[in-house]
Amino acid sequence: MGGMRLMGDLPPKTHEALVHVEFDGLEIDARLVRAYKGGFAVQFIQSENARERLIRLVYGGKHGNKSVEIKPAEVMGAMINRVFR
Amino acid sequence: MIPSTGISYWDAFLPSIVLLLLAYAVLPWLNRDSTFARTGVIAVCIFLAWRYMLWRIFYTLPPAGLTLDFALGVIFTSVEFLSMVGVTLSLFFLTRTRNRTAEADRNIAWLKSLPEPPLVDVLICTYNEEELILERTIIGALGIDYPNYRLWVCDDGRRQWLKDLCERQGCGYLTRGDNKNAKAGNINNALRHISTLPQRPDFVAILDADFVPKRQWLTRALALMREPDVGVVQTPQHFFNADPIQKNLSLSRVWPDEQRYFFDVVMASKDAWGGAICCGTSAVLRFAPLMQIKKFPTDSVTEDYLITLRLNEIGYRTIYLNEPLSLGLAPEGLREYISQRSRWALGFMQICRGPNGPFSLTSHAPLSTRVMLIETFLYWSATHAFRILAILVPAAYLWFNIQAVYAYVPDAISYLLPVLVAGTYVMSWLTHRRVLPILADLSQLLIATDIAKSVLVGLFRPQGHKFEVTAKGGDRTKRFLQWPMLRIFLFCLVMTVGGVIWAFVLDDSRPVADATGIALFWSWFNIILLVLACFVCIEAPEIRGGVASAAKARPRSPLAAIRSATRWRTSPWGACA
Repeated sequence: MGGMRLMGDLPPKTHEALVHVEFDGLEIDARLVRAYKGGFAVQFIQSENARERLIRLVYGGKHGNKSVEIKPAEVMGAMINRVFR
Repeated sequence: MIPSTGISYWDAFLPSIVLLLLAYAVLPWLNRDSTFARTGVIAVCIFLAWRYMLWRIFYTLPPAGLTLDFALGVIFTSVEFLSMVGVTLSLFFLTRTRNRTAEADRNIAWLKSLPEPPLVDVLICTYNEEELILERTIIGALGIDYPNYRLWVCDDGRRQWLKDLCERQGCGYLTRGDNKNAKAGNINNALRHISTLPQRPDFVAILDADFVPKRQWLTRALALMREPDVGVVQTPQHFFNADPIQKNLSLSRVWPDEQRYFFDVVMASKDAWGGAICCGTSAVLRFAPLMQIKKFPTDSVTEDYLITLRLNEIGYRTIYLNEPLSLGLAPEGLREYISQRSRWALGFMQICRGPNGPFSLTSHAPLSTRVMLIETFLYWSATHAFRILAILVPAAYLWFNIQAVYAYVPDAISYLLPVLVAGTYVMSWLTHRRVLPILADLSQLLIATDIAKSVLVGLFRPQGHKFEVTAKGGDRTKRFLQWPMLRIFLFCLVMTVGGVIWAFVLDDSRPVADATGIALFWSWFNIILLVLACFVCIEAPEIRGGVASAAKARPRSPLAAIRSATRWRTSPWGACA
């Protein structure tokens, strides 16, 4: 688990800036590494302690892989898109 | 040729149009959890399916004789008949469903009222998985929110670094001198060890090397152990990565992993009929009966299914708690995906040939268990064989004029189309759209040839096979082709497209008959399936271990779900958001 993608606007000229991320009571230092439309990505600054806390929080905690709401038209569209891409 | 019923195209389409309208009008109003509603819609499906099947048997077989038409026609119809029996049984079991969440909620109080929490030994089984995977599982398992458990890593790879990791993390490490009986042997080695300890456990919990348990896993599962005849509580397998179909067709955002149908729908229905099964990882088992049946059975490579049957024989049930209580890795490549399913098929055939088989005279299994075994047997054997034949039969007609099905187009529309319409809508309704045409057929087609091999091997030479571990981890950062499989699908695709061109463009000698139209319809369907199968054989790269993946990849990590709960701020020299 190297980092995470966040949604929201990124202030200008902050590439490689050090940031402090807080979620669900966990605080972790990170570095901004990528910005894209509607969001940005941070890379966690690794430490053994941080890694353990992250694993417990993310994999062992309440979060799960969000179940997909299946819309047949979207599924067909995605397949067609893949074939003709 | 058997005469047509002489119906017009309008009359042929009418039943399907009526069904379509009914499905749109009625299904959204029905309660999906109601046995009454489920039974009603499934009864319609079964009726239509058998109306079609009887028409196939009595009206579409080629004239009897020593001809290729008749030989292929009989084989194709027989396999389709067996497949239909399997589908009917599957539908029958889907008439019920059971959700034990409320029961688990109620029983938590009972669990907490016990004078001392039962002791659980959690076993993590590993053979060759890499450190990153195991470390995650161990750390996750050490964080389980339950006051009385011990954690053991059962290493069949005899790795020093893993022993060191266990020491660092503070959990037990067990290994053995050989790998006899693979995973079952590994677990049995651990059971032997813990049964000699001063304090023997009340329960054992099994985790595969890549499955990270949720904090509440043990508490939720143990709550369902209140009834003393519950031998196993199985929880579903959820995955944090995309399976090969999702990944290689870029479907992760719109389509769930293939196992969701089994764990979200089938297992809940099996449980309602008392037929839930142990699926290996993420299960909690009662220790005493496990020792009574002399630990995990080793006469099948699917020891998990077999343990349910063996525990049944001494009066212990397997039940199912459909809550996401662990997260693991789905097979990351197509080869691993197929090898895993082939192992399941082989293991099941070994069970069928053994003393717990559906027709075994020595087995004490009740009728419902035997019928479920037959249903699973037909799924592995007939359904996949039918999928292969469904590719070959239209091509055989188009290329060589071997006609396995004698039917007129209006008759085919009248009998087959209602089955397709009802099947599509009812399965979509029953499964929250987890079963959709084309994708369901695709997942069968991808594994069909390997499953056919496993079924034959398992039936005719059931013993002496190695347990093939599903490889997890490894470098998957490059796109590559699964050539051995791609070759097969490309050959079938060329054969099908070529057959259409030959029959409709190049071969002037053959008049366009009804059978040609039917073959053309199925050829187009097969072409779609085969094109998709070819694309699944192009393994998409999976970028890991860095922000690049988080930024580029689909939301396949649990992290994707916590974005909204996150606040961030930049370091002192940056702006705050």
